[in-house]
Amino acid sequence: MADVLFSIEGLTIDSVRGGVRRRIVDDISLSVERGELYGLVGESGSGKSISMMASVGLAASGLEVMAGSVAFSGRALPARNQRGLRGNLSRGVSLLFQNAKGALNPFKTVDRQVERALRRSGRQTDPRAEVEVLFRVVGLNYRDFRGKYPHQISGGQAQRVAMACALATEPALLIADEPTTALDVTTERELLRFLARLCEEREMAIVLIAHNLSLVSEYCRRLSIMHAGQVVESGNLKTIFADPLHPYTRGLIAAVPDVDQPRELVPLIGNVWGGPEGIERCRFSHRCQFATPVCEARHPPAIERAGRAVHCVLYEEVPA
Amino acid sequence: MTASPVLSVRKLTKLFGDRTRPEAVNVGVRGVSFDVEGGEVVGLIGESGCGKTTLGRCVVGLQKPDDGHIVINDTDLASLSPARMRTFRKAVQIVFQRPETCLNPRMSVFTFVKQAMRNFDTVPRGHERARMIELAQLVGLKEEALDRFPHQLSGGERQRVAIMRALACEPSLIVLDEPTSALDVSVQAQVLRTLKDLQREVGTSFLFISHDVAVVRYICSRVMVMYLGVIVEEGPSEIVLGHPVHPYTQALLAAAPRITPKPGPHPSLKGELVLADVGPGECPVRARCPMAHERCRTAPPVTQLPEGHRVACWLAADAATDGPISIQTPSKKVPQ
Repeated sequence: MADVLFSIEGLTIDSVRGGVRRRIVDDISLSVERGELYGLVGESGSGKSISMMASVGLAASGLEVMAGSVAFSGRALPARNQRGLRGNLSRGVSLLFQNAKGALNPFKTVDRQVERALRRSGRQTDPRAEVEVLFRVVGLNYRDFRGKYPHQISGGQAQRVAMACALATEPALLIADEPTTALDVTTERELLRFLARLCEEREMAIVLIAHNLSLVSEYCRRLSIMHAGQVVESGNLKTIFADPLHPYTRGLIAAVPDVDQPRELVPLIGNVWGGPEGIERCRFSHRCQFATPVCEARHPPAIERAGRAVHCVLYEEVPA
Repeated sequence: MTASPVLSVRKLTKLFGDRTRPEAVNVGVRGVSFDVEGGEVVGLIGESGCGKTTLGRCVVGLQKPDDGHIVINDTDLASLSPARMRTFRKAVQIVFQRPETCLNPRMSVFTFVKQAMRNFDTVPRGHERARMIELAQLVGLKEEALDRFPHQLSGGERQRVAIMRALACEPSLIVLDEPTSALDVSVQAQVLRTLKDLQREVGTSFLFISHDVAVVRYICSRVMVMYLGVIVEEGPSEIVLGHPVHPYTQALLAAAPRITPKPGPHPSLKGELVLADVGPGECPVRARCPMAHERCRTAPPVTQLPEGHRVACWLAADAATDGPISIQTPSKKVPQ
């Protein structure tokens, strides 16, 4: 853990809706190093996006940050202080979303949008000239795209324009929330490769949020796997993929169809939020074939085992 | 012994004109022919914009083809009067990518599926509930779900309802247009398993449209790879997706994300699918093909390879005229 750029410590979030309080993010921690491509994986509704948004001060209304702190570039702030987080992180962090066309303004040409992002970053002396540079960085020909509106370009191109806007502030950290879900496989691969290159060349850190493990497998070095607001396993990607320990990680891997060697798929049973509410427990217990009464009583802390951290009682003591 | 195919498509063409550039190649389907046999699961893969959805919509009669024939159970769709067409729709059903857009938010699952049953009189009145419970079991839904409304169901459950509705019509063929691409991987696995079991039990033919090669490899026995409205490669799944011959299929396969990434350089395509790059009469893949050369300016013939494997590429044509092409045929053993 040499050069930690961004870290979340014990982040806990409740949702309060119609007077009902639910814990949707439960004590999660992760740390991202400078220049690292970090994967955050889990099914929809597992709290990946919510925790990342809250960690940069963008918790949606109806959410209440209960505990935790976020450190960025050596400065730590309590996560409850959302306004403070926004102030502290807005210059250094950019976001990239799933639906690129939705992120762009349909009434403005794409070059004007990139230019505006540059102006607002307030660090460029000549935004006009810089627009061309940014288009080149994201692999688009400025001349072809000048004067084009978002509806005139493809999804992959729109995602690249959104990238250009995100890069305008020269961020140290980029949070990419399922950036390739709406794209074709060929474009998806190009975008992932491009993100990996950004990490390398610009020393930029990226948190790649995905629901499909096979997406992060090629370019991420480390990852965290989330289920129902809890981190279940985290550490080196190769180690985890070679020998997944948590039953949920195993389930996720078994659910991905393999192109090269087709095998029977083993779907995970139940859904993310299916179990009993309001009690302290491992939230995977209602879907887990190894669940014991202990799992219904508490969520185990991180256990260091075989080069990664896993939250599961199976690995707590020597089996009887 | 050889029964006629459930679906037989001949030289199907459906183009969408661009008035500003009438000379350009149009999006859509251009002269596609194929058969789907009874009980077969055929995959149709390609990138967005390649015409795969258009093809599916033509097959179910949602779009009128410009040219060509669609024959279902020996009946040509074009020969049907509008009134007969309506009752004939029973034979082919479709499941869309986003189930929420096809379910009626104001109808419970029971009412919604009952409508489909009434429409085609597949179940005698009064017996709907019993049949529906059977169907629900078949698609993996609980009986309680029948009285729920779409907003009370999860994405996977909604897709199951859409499949159930299609099955309620007792069709010979179901067109599945990207049925799992809006779902999570875990839910996708559940739905794919259900579809596979269904297929075994009911024996309905599927035309499975998808851009995910891994999904297609899992569920389909035969695949067709489509690019800009034409089929560039087709054949048994294990050959086309195991040992692809066409550079486009190779690139598509190499781009697929994997849990264990393949080492080494991958064949890749240049840029994106862009219509403007393709001139009339040339191989559609030329503009992006890593192996393209001068000759690709004329469209290549379709080369027949062993085991019903067909490829539209000059490379395959050359290899075939030099003698039998050496393609490794995979062993019949299923890998563990």
